Amino acid sequence: MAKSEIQLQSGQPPHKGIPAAQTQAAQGVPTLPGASGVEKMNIVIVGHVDHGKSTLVGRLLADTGSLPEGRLEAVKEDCRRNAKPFEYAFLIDALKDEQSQGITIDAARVFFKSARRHYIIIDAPGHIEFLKNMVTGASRAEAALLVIDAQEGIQENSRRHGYLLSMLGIGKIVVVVNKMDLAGYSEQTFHAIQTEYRNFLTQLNVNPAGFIPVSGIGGDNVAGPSSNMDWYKGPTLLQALDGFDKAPPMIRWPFRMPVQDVYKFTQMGDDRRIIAGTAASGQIQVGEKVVFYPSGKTTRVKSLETFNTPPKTGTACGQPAGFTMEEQIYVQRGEIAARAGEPRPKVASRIRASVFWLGHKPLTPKRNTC
Amino acid sequence: MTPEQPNRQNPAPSRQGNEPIPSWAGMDHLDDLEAISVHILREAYANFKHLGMLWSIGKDSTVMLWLARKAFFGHVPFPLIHIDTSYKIPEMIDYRDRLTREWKLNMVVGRNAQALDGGQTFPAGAVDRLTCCRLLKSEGLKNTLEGRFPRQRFNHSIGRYEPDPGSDPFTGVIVGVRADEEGSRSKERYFSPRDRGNEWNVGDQPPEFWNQYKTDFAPGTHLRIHPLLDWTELNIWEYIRRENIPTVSLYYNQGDGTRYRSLGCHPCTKPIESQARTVDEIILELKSGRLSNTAERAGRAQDAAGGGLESLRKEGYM
Repeated sequence: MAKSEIQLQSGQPPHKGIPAAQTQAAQGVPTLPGASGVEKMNIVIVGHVDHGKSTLVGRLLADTGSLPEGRLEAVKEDCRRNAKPFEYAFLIDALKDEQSQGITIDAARVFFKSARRHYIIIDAPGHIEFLKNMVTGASRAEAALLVIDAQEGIQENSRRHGYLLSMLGIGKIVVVVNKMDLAGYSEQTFHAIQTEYRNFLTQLNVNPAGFIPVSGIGGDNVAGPSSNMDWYKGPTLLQALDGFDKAPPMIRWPFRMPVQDVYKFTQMGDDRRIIAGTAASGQIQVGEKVVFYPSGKTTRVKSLETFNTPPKTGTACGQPAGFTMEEQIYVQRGEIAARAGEPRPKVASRIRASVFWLGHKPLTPKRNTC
Repeated sequence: MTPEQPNRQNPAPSRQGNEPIPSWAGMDHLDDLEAISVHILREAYANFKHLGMLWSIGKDSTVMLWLARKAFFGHVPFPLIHIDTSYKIPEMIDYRDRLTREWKLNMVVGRNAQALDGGQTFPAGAVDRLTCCRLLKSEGLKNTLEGRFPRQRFNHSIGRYEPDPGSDPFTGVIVGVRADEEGSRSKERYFSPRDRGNEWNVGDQPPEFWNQYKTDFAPGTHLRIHPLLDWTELNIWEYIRRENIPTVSLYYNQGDGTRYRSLGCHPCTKPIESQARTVDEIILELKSGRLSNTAERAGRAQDAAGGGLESLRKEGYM
């Protein structure tokens, strides 16, 4: 769906702070909607512990009517009975230990729908002890909201999470300055955080799509605008989410399909020998020449196999696939299928990498092998 | 930059760099969900010798069974496991055995005979809902998976179940839970370890990056594999419609103005008021009708009983 159509639908002005260069149209790659035309996007929400991530997500769900009927009332009633103050975070922090300690332990998937698309919001924990859970949540995300407490300012995990987002290659980031109510809705406070954090992100080569001052508790600039911050003219959190465009599929890249398995279900009366996998990039069609690496063995794609679909003549990145071959060459799980005539994958036994170690024990060189 | 090293900003042009992108390359949200699930099922099959899939006969695990047929090109190369509490609605069992025959499934059924023979059930026996769930489902499942309770296997040549001589423990168990069903399921991993007591340590789950999964396990433990975590109830019905997947008649209004939204044991699962007679009408009801704002498991009484689903799940419930 084109961006202009969305704006017409929702009646919103063009979003400030979302550079046009990030849109797909600007990259000259068409969107590729499937049959239903419905789009899905995974968003992670990260930041330092207690900066209000779960509250923000809870508020977003409540204000957009995304909660099942009675859910909000049930959580409020539970809080009243247990004599604890209600928090929007309890809508997300479902585990008993999370509620009793007021902390998110593991990332939750939260489902949510806007005028533009379906979202899965991954609410990641902000406590240092649960960093591997944050990275787990973030690795599934296409875009991120990074939350900073206006009163506390930039903290250790605000930086660490920003760094991890850049390491994971998540370039679409909106920075949310939360708890503006506790900072007297101060424009000065907001701009000070914006300047400092933008400088930090610049060092990481990350260019955030924008900064938004919000109050999760009060709902300011979450799903609707704020009357407390007239000085802010940019998009609300909800508009910023809808302002993200999906990364174009890597269809123009060379074909790469890691071989996930080789199937031959002879016992079930099936003689097909099928090479199965999901292409990471590119496309291939029946009759084209395929090369397996590292062996370099070559054959042609004889057929693309499917179940309960019309016959297929080609497969592209992201699609689960299976093909039979002209010659029965020996191929194993773990090899990479490429298309002849395209740039070849590089075969090597040594690589240089930045490693972020998440094990319980420290990394021991030469002992920790994979 | 050499042609061998493309990067995201400057992809090396492929041979067809200027050709139009074919229409079959497009993917919508159901294609996306199907792709993730198929990938997970294939990873599970590649990594576990003793792999099985829990089939509750409900719409979710039936979609999962269908996804297995997608992943393995029409076959289901591992056993399906059903824990029969004996309180399932009769249509569910008829449907299970019909698909078992038609799709030539390797069907294994287990039950907690001790609890059933001893009358430790709700409401007939002297135990409450949660204890009944624990005994018939959690304990029944645990002991069937570990091979301590006898298993029945469908013999296709004689057309009925017979005692299964095999008692190898299952080390990989595929389960059709969805993250949107309730809180503790929203925090699940795709590959989730369970310890010797079948317990789930939610505070310390293994990392899971991109589509790489930790599949090794200690002796005596097993992994739960969750291919449907990212699906919502609406997605399930949209996919049933798209693929024309057969589902139990209990999901549809047969003329009395009620239908089941979620299937379980009859003493603890109540039908909802609904006029929906077809998949299309169910989708409409979920999207815009009166169900668009009510939780799916609202008709499942064990969730509301004190302690609820989180406690049950920590001890091994699905």
